[in-house]
Amino acid sequence: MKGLLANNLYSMQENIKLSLYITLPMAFVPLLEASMISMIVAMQVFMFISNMGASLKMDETSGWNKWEITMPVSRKTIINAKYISFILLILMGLAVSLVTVVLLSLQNEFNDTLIFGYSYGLPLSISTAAIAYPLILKLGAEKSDTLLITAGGLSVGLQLLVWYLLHLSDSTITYRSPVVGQVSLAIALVMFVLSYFLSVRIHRNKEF
Amino acid sequence: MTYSLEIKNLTKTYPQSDFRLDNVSFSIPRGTIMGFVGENGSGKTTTMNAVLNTIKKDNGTVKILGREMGDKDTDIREQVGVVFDAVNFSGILTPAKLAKVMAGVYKQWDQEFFLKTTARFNIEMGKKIKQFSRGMTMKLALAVALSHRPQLLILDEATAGLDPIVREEILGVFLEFVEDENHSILMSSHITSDLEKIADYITFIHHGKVILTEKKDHLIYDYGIARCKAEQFQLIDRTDMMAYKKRDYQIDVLVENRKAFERKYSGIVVDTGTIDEIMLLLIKGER
Repeated sequence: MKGLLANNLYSMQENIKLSLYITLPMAFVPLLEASMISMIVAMQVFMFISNMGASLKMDETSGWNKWEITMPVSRKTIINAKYISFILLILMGLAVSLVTVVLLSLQNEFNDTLIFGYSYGLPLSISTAAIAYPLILKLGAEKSDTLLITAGGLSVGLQLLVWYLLHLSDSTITYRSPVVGQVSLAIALVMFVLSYFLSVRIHRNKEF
Repeated sequence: MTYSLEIKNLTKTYPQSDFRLDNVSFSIPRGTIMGFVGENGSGKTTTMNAVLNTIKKDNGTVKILGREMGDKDTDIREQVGVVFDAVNFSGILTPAKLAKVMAGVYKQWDQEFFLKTTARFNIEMGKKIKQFSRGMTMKLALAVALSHRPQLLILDEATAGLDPIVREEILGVFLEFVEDENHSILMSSHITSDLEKIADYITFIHHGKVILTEKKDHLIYDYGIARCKAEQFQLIDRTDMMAYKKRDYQIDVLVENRKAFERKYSGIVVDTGTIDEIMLLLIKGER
């Protein structure tokens, strides 16, 4: 498991660096325009998980995804390592977003838009990974870009659906209401767990 | 005799494809090298994939070191070193990083041996794999496969596309590996001259069926190719010929016992054959 995780992170190393180069300067944007913090935080959280496609594509083109099956690990362990890598990517996004929060805290300019950034970006990241990975596993990593965009779109649609359904029961609930983010996050977490089991199943039946 | 690999009646079909592995059976005794030959698409890689569980077999049994290997039998996979005819590893890794990955997976990973082998192969530890030539990539794959101290090596076209010098070097490593009588190699290759140098047994596969498994020395020294004229061919008993192929003014006949054939049919020239020639007659010849 340790070796598989190391391989996943090494494979994503260059993309992680690129994400850092993009997201770290973004942390200064809210200092100039505080109202942009929610968008910046959401982008920072999402940016890292969007790298998963590049790494999966590399695994496929290099033949690693076939070779790793010949190693003394079970297919379930391979999937475990993938999902732990996704969690690490999301945590990296969260860590970078904290830089933005710390910088802004120096100006004492917090408002509830910051919470919206997290309640939008975090479920989006989790559900995108949850939807995209089983699809990439099933349909092939060469389609990973399309599948990631599709999964991102579906995740946004899911949040809109959550808001719409909540709005039906309480008309005071807006898209930016914390409850929309909380419910979306809960759904995204459930999807992530289900996605894991689905991926284990797909991988067990997949031929390389 | 104990076997490193025993394949019995292995069958594999694919939906929407006419190809099938048809009851493939052969075994590799411990301490030996099995050459696995056949034309492109004959089923060599499919057989190896089924052995390694990268594809699911329909029927048959595959025993590695005496046991059938399922997904959870990681202890068996610890004993199997694999080199595929591909890069195998992520191109942005360096051999140094790759070693860290392997050390995190293989319990028996021998870092000292890996460093010694990569130094022997002149592999730069800090260079990205994507910058390596094919020869270097294959040497690295071999160094990795050997460094977790396996008992069985499975090599799919591991010497393809390499120059003769690199091939010679790698073949030397294979021979060193089987000096330990518990070690064995299954090696597919189109370069049959390589197999003539190192293999103990050869298995020929054609259209998904094993057509012959034989000791290499028997093939080289005992088998023969009779060069017959049409009238000579008519005199040959069909049970004495394994296959034959008509050429312009001659018919080549593959015979199992060259000397016995010469004694029985005096006047017919019988040459020893190369593995290539024998394979051609077995595959393209009539029976």
